Amino acid sequence: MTAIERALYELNEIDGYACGSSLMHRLDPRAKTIVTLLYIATVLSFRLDSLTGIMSLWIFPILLSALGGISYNRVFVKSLYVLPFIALIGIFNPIFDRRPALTAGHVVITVGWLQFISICLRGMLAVQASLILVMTTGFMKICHGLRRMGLPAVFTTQLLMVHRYLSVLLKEAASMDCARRSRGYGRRHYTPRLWGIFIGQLLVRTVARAGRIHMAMLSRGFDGNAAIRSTMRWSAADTIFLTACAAAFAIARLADLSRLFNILTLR
Amino acid sequence: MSHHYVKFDHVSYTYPNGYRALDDVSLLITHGQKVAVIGANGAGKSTLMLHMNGLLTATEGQVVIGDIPVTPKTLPRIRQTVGLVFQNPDDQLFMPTVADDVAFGPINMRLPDSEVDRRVDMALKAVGAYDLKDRPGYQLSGGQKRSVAIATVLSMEPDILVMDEPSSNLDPRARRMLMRQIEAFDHTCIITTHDLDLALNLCPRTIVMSGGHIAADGPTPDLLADRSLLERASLL
Amino acid sequence: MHMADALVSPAVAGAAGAAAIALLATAAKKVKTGTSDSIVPLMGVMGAFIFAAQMINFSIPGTGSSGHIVGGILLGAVLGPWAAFLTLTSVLVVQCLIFADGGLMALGCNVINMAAMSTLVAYPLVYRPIAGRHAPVKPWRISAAAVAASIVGLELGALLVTAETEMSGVTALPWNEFLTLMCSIHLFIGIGEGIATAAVLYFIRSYKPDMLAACREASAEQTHARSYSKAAWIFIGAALLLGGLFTWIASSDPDGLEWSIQSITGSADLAPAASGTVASVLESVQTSTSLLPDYGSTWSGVIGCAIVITLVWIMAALITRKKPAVKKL
Repeated sequence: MTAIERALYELNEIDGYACGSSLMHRLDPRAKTIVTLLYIATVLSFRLDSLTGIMSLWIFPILLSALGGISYNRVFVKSLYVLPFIALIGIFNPIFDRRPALTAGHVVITVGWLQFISICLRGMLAVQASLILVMTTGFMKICHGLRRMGLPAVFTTQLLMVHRYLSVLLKEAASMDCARRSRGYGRRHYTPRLWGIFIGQLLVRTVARAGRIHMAMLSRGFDGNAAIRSTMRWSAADTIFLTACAAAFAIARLADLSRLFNILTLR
Repeated sequence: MSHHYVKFDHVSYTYPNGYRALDDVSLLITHGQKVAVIGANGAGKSTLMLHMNGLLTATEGQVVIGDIPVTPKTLPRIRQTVGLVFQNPDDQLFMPTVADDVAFGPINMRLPDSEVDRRVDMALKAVGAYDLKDRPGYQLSGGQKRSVAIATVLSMEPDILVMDEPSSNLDPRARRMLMRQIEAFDHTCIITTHDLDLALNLCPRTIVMSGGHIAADGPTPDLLADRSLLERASLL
Repeated sequence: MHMADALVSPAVAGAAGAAAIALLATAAKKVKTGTSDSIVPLMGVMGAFIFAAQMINFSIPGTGSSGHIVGGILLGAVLGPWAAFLTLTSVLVVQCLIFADGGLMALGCNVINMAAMSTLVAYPLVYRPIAGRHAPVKPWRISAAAVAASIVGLELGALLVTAETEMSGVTALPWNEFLTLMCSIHLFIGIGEGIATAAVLYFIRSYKPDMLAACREASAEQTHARSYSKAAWIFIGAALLLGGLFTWIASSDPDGLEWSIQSITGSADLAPAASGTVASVLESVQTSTSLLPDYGSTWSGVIGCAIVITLVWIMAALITRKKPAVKKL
């Protein structure tokens, strides 16, 4: 699978999940966006050496994805993609900080490694939260929500347009790439010159397409303001969801949930 | 309502790069007619089409749509009267969902919400795509996209429908369904096409274009039986 | 160089987010809309184009590695700075939400580091002066301008990534080493990006010169280069200052400097955060509730958490399997 094909697959996958009809799907996008941000802020507000604190927040993505009827396994696997870059930065902590933190028999885990695990974990949890947001809401509705939350209309329209033409252009690039490979006689890579011509062609086609879209807009009375109506209504369920989540995050942040888990499981 | 004729009065158009795409074109299409415009690639069909809606303005001559000459001032009225369906539905369906796309025109016409809703439902039902209302445009099949593209124009309740290659890239069944839909419209229909069979089935009248001017204009069966004409127009 | 949420603290993310929103609001005002010849459709499709173009790698001669473009300078040349900023920002949002590339919290950082630096700083201040503003642009000028602007844009971005990570107190890597690492990596990326951008611009110049000419006209109204680059600098400066202040006031992170203080004095007490800000409230709550780290005894905590998470995970898997709520396409 080429990078383009994978991107197309993921785009479709997200859309597929987003047209579900679970409890989570029916909530207002604004409520879900705020909750997601609150969750990530809570995760990030833990100190790096407070591994148990961060771990205790792990239950929320699992619960929320179950509530949204989406597979947590898939969310988890997708969140692994984020690891390489984080690990690249995080790996320096074990190198620089070698004070012992935990011992298990002869194995000593240093503060640095503890922090490394925390960094990876918070990266994954943050990504999982935003994945659940988009998988239970859909990119489109998030954009409508952002518009209602006061982001400039030019920008939200722009987001919707990019999303709309993403698959169109990815397919166009994929078919051009396929045509090149079929005549590439085993050459797998683009030289910068060939790449310039290829991308230049794609750009020319893109601009031509923009011209046609503009004409289609004009012929339907477009005057510069893309008209989008959204029938978004904040209901009591949204308030309850937001309050409940905020309270749950606050409790998880203030009380040491790991102790509770201990009592539940170990004793 | 009987004023909705399309009249080209010695229209010529030269692109900024000097290419003369239309050369002294005159024609009159009256209310309710279904007319096919056929011709080879580069014969000027698309340029002709863009003039009907004021997307291009004649460099010589005049285009008149039902007593109203096409000028920058009359464009809003012209564009409500003449609906243009583009060849590639992906260019026409640029909004997030089917309903948004169909509502785009009526909202730009500043219609009240209830009227917009009524028109969206009406247009989607007319093309048998009501069930697709809340789907994103890019998830549709080729035939569905084409139907919805037509609905985006029908929702503006135009009197004249101009369609560019409506049957291109469609599988046989989708093509048949589309032809049935077009047959049912009582609008004035102007269809540019390479699909001679579609022209014969739907349009009593055909205009043959070649090299930017009109090579022939008459009853479809007669023109399509004229081998030498079709060969001269690079259609055979 | 997408920043992930894991590498920022809420204070830094918040400050960068505020700066990004301010820039967004400015851009929304600067980009011409409300007229029928607006560039709304072009911006939309160009955003999707940049995304698709990033999927196709070119091989960097003599290194055996490959790269792709970020696209800020290319967008600038076609759309002008502010529209390019909006477009690149929208690409970042799509990457973040749909492809989990860069985090939601860190989005503000990414917008500043990647979009603002290349389109609002490198393009108007480096690319335009070198490439010149008048019609027949010489190929060498395009190449020189593209390479120089790409390097400047990426190096500034790398500097900011370093600053944001260090201010967040996440990494134990010292400033100097981190900065050296980031800047040297991005020097190479910048050269690659510059060559790639030049290759595309060169193609456009010979194949469809009006495309670049059109955008020069479109951006001609922004001839007061100084006024908007000044605005950009003010925003960036404000963001840096704000970020610095935030972390200074609200930081209770026991890493780096403060960690050593804490380990020397043996107490976790910190200067009380200035009241009022959300971050400071959070931080003070944090300091008052979290116990002194007693590492020897937290094994049980880790194990307890692990067991609960596993149980909940299994339960969730069972629930979601029963409910085929998802319509696969």
